Amino acid sequence: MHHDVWQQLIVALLVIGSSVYVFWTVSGLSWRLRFISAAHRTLPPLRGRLDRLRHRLESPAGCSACRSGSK
Amino acid sequence: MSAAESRIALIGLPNCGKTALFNRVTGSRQKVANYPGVTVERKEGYHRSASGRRYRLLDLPGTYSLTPTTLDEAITRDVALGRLASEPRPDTIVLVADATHLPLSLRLALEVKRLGLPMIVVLNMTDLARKRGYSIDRERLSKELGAPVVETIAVARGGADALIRYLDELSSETTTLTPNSEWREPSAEDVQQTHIEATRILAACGYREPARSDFMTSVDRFLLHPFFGLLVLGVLLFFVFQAVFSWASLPMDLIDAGVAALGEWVRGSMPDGPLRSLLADGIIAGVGSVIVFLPQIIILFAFILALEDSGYLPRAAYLLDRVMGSVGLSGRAFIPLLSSFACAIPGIMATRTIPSVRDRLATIMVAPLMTCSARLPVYALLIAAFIPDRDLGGFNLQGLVLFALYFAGVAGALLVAWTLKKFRGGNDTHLLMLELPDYQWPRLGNLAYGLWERARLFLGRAGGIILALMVVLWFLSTYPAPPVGATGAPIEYSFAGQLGRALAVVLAPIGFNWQISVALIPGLAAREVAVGALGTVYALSGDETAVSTALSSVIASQWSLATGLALLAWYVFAPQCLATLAVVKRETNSWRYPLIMTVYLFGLAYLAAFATYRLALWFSVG
Repeated sequence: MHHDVWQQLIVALLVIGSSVYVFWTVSGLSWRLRFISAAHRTLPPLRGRLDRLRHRLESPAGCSACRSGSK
Repeated sequence: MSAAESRIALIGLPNCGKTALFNRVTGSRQKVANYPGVTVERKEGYHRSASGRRYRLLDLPGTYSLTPTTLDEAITRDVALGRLASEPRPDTIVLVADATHLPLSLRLALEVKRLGLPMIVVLNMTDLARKRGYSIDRERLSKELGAPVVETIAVARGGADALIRYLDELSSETTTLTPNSEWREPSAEDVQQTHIEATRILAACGYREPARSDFMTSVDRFLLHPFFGLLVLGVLLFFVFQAVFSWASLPMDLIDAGVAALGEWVRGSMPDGPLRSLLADGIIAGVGSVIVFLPQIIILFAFILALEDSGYLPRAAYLLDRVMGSVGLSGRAFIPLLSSFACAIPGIMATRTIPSVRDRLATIMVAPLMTCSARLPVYALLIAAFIPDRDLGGFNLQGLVLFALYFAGVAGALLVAWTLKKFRGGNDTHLLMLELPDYQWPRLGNLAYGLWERARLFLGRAGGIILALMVVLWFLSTYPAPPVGATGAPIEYSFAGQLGRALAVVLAPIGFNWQISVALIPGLAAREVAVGALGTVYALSGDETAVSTALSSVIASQWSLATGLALLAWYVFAPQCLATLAVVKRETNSWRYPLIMTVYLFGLAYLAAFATYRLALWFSVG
């Protein structure tokens, strides 16, 4: 029973993390920029990191499949 | 020049070695190949010299002049003229010239000189030029152009040291040049004058080029022959697909055994519970079903990279120009379509090299029909499951089917292009002007790096998006738990099971069961995910053997041949991944084309699967 609780907790974290990752990966650039803008407003301590992330997304970079162009 | 950082733009003809030089100076690993049109957008990198100066280098698409005919050439002109709001005008232009094709480069150098910016002329591939008997008085050329001329060998270690030294010298000088702010596009008369001037300079510098060897001329005469050339191309491709199946079986079996052993070990060493199920049934069964195809991907790309490096691919473009023209595609569409065999995204971006907007759109619309590498695991799984591994007329039957599937994708693309041509009307003539590079032996270093890169990308996807999707799919396939007294497998009562059954109503006429219906959804994120999804779904279907037995054996025993063939037909035309649609939207600046593309690809896939399924049933193979 004790094992089961721990397993369920780890599984819940993995499922939530994976869902966020999938959502981020399949959403397009405009959606990602919207998420960042929303986070920018609501999470002031992370503004520096969010600005760097926005800059990275807006500059030409490789896609996850082929590194030949931004999504 | 700015004291803090110097902006350097690399400009040159297509396929003169700009990207190789860029990689050499910045330590980047941008894609290089022995054919024009590989770079279609600006790429930036940094270099800090021994003197401590920092350089920001821009690798620009190749161009023959500053009067662009295509979108990628316009990027080069706009950066050079400082017309891009996001990109300040460069401080220095490095004009990269292929030392084995100097006359054309010289014309571009004269055009660039008129911009009034400090310029360094780089004679690249000088080792090859000397070996082949080219010669020129470098100092005289420097005097004639009024710019330093340095020699580089971009593919050799230390081959760009001379350029870096010159950049440092130029940076420390106080330049008196002022950019020409009144640059205008050259008229026909200007072009004529530039040509005369270039010819005069070459003569003054004692430029000498060797006669082309009789042997290479004979080789090209054979390989570019309208009949024998196409025959060689067909045989070559046929051999590649045979090798993909014949050579990969041993390493695939080893990976398969490793994945099965890992699954068994997890099952045996962890207490029963959701985490054990997630690891064994979700992650190991799902991701393991995908990574087993790594050897086939490596073999396919070994051939593609070797052909790229050898200089054969532009010849293939020349051979296929007539076929492409007959269906309304430009000969320039060949390279974008070829790139789409790796991934449709670079292929769609490479359409920027096509001057006509209509031709470009037609190429974008058919690019996803080329069989991208993400389809290979799906094909390989279904072929291994349903096509016997035996010889037919001396050829491996599985390899023959794989060849036929790739061919079906190409034939589908030609058919769609022809249909588009009929819709849009008109009778355009398409001229293909393509520089044929010299043949060269593929460089082992390039090949090894290219293969490493493909393997890394494939495994990166397996460990990234595929793994994440498998975790989500495992959750959807496990919860909610079956009601008390349920008799079927738990997955049948889960979210995924219910969704699969709802979709199966639409997909049943083409022979797809609910497990396939479930797998098609995550397959939209990346096609090969469908294989992993099938692995997870069958592992959770209550069949314990599914974890320890290869997925191909499981589906071979549970699906009819008609269903297997219908799914193969579906994947020839299967709607592309979401990332491709996003790139189509960006490249066309409209939602209209990705929407049309989605509808027509779904329609074609459904029709092809329906016809295949019904025909297979008709012939009583199901």
